[in-house]
Amino acid sequence: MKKARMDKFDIVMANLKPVEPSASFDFEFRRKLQDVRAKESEETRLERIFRIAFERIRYALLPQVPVMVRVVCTFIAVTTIGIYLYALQPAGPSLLASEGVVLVRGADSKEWSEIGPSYTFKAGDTIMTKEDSGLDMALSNKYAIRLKGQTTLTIAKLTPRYGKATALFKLVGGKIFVNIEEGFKPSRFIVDTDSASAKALGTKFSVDVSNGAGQRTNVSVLEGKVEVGGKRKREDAPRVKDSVVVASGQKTIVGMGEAPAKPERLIEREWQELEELYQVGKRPQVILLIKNTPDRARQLLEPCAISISDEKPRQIPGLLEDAVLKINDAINTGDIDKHREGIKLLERIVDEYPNKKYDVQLLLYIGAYYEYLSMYRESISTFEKVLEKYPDSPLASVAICAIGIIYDEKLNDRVKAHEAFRLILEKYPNSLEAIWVEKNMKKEIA
Amino acid sequence: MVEKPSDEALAAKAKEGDIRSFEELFEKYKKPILNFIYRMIGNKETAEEVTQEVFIKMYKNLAIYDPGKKFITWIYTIARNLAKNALRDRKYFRDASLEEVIAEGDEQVTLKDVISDDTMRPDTIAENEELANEAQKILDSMPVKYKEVITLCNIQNLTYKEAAGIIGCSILTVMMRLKSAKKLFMEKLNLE
Repeated sequence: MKKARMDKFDIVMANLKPVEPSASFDFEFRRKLQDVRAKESEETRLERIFRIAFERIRYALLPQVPVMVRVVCTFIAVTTIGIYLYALQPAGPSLLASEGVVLVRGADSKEWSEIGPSYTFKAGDTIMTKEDSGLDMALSNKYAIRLKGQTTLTIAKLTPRYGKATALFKLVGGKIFVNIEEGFKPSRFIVDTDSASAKALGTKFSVDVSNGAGQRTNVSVLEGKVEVGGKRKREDAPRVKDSVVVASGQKTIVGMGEAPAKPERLIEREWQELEELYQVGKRPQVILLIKNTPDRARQLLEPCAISISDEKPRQIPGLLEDAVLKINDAINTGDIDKHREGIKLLERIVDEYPNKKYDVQLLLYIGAYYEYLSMYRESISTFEKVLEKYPDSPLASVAICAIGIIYDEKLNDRVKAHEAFRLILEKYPNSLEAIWVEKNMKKEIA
Repeated sequence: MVEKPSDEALAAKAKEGDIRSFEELFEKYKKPILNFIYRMIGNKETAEEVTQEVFIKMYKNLAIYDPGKKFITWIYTIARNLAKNALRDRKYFRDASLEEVIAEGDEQVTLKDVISDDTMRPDTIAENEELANEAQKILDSMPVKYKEVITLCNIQNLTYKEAAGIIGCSILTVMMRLKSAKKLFMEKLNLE
């Protein structure tokens, strides 16, 4: 019955009388078509290409795709474009701390205004610090900059939030410390002054054009490398092509319109000045409390204290905190067994949680502790581990120097001691220890 | 006897600028397209306007027509899209005269009678304008997705495959929709 009705329905529908176009239908259509063709002849080639491309997308593709798919595709497209645009936005460093009088001027404004807390810097900003003032700014995981007193710095170009690019800072006067971190490595960091341009290839350096230096630019490097190039005095002057790579422990000076001087080793006072770089931005999580003086190795063997920065405690294994507590306890009670336990804990950390951020510091510390406990062989083998695993660390020279001192003073093995000191001069000629060896051991090892 | 060129061949010629081929396609499809649109939106005047628009659009888009694909699917896809646009833009629209005809249809034969009464011939509808109007009124009250399958498959006698191509769904979907559409139609006639 039902089927019969359905069949009948089909026949009824098939027999529905079709409507006929009205008399004016064709005439109307031809008139409209005529209009279109007239318009078409006015259309330029480019317009036609654009129209066809647009229509192609609209009619040939979209109506065939189900609504849900279209909605999802549109959502994905919009989100992707949104994320892309977000990532393209320049990432401005924010103010970490400031002291004294610090003024800032935006790209468009002429007025200087006092910097507010948690200020985020934009491209075009100029920052000026007065005498005895200072400012730290940082872009998380990318770079940190410290402005000393009487410094004027213009932020010419910032890198986008994601992706690599060039960050350009113009140092008008004064002195800045720069600390580049891992996250910034693919990008380029350039500090421009009137006379020079410093491109960071490494991590920690300072640029100085303070009044004492006249129009000359001083670039000192604590870690990594910086490429320094000279600049033309005027547009028509011959181009100064030469550039030098300043390695860690070196400095160079660039005069106006001159090529940079051959990099030289930093002198003792400069090392101490650069020590400040360790405080710029995020500090290392494990710090050896030794001063940047040539007798660093001796300070280490005192033994020095160890400190864990509490900025990001979660990145440090709990074991390390235990070890530090145990060692502090050992120091307080003078218990040799507790000392040994503490050292064993630290050794476990180095073995089980290798992290190049603090392994060198910990190994040095362990070595120094063995020495303190008169376990000289263990001490030397620990220091040798530093040389084996991290020969490029800026603290590697401290390890060799410590080995030299132990051979010299504790084991009375002059030959091996002098071998170690000579190695410092050969392999780490720009290190602080090289200064120390030259000062104290020159005659003996000659 | 020379074989008649296919729609696709005509469209390909029209694409190259042959206005006569375009005219031929217009003559062949103007009535089916007008009827399809009329069944979809239920007003002849508007249907004529939309039909003209369909052929204008077709003319403009000949450049992007792919002769490898079926012409009928393409032209009906354009028609379907424009009909849906028209429905969306003119939702308020109802044919007043249609309502009147139905109102005085008490003594006359109804669509319900034709389908349920075995003694009545189903092709009566071809001569009976009131019945046709009643059928159209029911179509008007149905969701677009149902009336388009009824129009394409039952009234215009296109194959399921062609209908699927025009709607942009699978053949199975067309069959399922058509079943639901017929059921709904019957319900509206109080036959379920």
